Amino acid sequence: MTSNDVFALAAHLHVLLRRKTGRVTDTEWLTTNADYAREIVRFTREKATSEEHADLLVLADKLEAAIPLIAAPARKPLLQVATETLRAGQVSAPTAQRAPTPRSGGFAHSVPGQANSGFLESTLLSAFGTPRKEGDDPESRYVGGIR
Amino acid sequence: MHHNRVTAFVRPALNQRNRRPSAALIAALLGPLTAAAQTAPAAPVAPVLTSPGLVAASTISSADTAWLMVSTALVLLMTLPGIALFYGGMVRRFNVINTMASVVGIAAVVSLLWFGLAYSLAFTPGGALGGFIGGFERAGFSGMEFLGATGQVAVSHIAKHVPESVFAMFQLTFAIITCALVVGALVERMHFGALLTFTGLWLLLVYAPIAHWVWEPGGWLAQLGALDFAGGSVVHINAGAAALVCAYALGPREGYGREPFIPFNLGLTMAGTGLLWVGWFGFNAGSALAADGRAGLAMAVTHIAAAAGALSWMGAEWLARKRASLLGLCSGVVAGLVAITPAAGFVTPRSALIIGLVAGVACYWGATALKRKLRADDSLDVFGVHGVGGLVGALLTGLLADPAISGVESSLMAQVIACAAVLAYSLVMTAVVLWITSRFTTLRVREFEERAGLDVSLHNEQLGH
Repeated sequence: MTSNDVFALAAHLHVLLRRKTGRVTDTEWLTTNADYAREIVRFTREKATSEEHADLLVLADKLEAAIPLIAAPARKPLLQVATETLRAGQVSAPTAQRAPTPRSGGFAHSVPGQANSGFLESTLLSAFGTPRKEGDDPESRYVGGIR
Repeated sequence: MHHNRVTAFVRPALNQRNRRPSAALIAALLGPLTAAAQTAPAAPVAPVLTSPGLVAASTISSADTAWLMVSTALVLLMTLPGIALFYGGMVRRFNVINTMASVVGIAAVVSLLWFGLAYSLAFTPGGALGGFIGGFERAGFSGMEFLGATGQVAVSHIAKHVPESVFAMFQLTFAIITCALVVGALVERMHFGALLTFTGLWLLLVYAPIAHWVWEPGGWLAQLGALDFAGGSVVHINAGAAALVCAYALGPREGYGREPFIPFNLGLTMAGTGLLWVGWFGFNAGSALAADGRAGLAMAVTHIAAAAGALSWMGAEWLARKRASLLGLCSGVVAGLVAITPAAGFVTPRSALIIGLVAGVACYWGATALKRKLRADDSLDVFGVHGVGGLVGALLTGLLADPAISGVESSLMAQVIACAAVLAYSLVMTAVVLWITSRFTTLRVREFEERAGLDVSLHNEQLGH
């Protein structure tokens, strides 16, 4: 069982407990704190037997089995977390060009994998000679003049 | 500018002169030398004001005065903070404070010297050499009175319907921005003290005489019929030429042509451009020296030329590099504004469109190909934009000026002579002024100071994080 599975289980349990017993749980805390998880397992079993919710009992068993996987998160300085998040979010330029972004408007790309518009792409640019060149290397762009 | 209005009144033989340009040219060139002899016997027959003097306060136009005061503020805004932001954004991070301090320091030096001497040299008729330089009678603004008790106020003979104090302040802002423009060529390597010394001498020995030639009705270029509504030659060709000389004299920055000089923040440059564009309404429309139809036309043509310049530069850049850069758009705006400056009160909006379009392409060439040919580290392209733009504007004024607007005929030959004279005088005299300055102080900072950045090495200040 991966941490994602534990999180999915916690989320499922959160929904059922909220609906059937009115108890609100902290899903994220449930996946990181073993004591909290044991308490929620105890509470779920108690309610499952007293109020006859068999499906809750199944989830309580699954969560109890996952408790060994729940470990306290390693504490990281905020700066380190921010740096890692930023790095993870960066996409290299070639990757960004290759990956077509899903279009929210419901239009398809006119030329799959190339165009960014739902309309037929204009050929006007090709009438003006060579296609756009790659941008200058940042190391050479501002050598010998600013403009 | 203004004096051209005056010229239309005091020189009724203008058309005749244009029919016989060679005779007129000789007469104009000799005129200043013989002016004293010719005018001495003429005596004060007509009550026409030919030099600054006192008039009844009731003759002052409130509307014109108000507009000129607003224009004065607008033109000062072009320098503080317009030019400071425009240039400050383009230099490297560790020279931003020095660049901005240079602009502020220049504004202060020029203001006091303008009050002390330069205004008098530029805008009084002068004596035997009146065609070339003014006199000393307004030194220290002496005689620039407002006598509320007797209902009198001093006015300039160039703008008889506004107080001379307002006229002098308006002209001061032009002197400030001209000197501040030169900073763009010498950033990141000049000693602060040397810069201020140079600026003071340059104001007195270069700017004031040229302003006198072109804008004082007795100046030899004004007599020649050269048209310069708001300073195409006095401000832009002059500053461009001076910038080029400074760039040659100081030499290139350490690492120039080998290392990338990343601009600090082109957002600041864009903000400066916005202030320049807005302030230019005061620069050009204010130069009508009245809140009238000509001022309105000057404002309209200024805006059209700025927009045309931006798109024209953008088009040239796109054809050359397939890119439209922010700095290119900003530079195109300035190019269009520079070129319309001498023409603003003489041309129609359609002509302004042509001037802006030509200027955008010409200045793009000036800041790229011509710059490479000149082999000078004109760091922020003062000559490429202001020198080239000023020349384009001055020459196109000769071609496109509409006599129906101003009542004066244009002459391309007079424009060529004016451009050549201002360019040559500024090139030579700027070199002389730099040489004089170098006798008093070192022009350039030492290499380690330049490498550390002038903010820390000269001002002991840092931009912050």
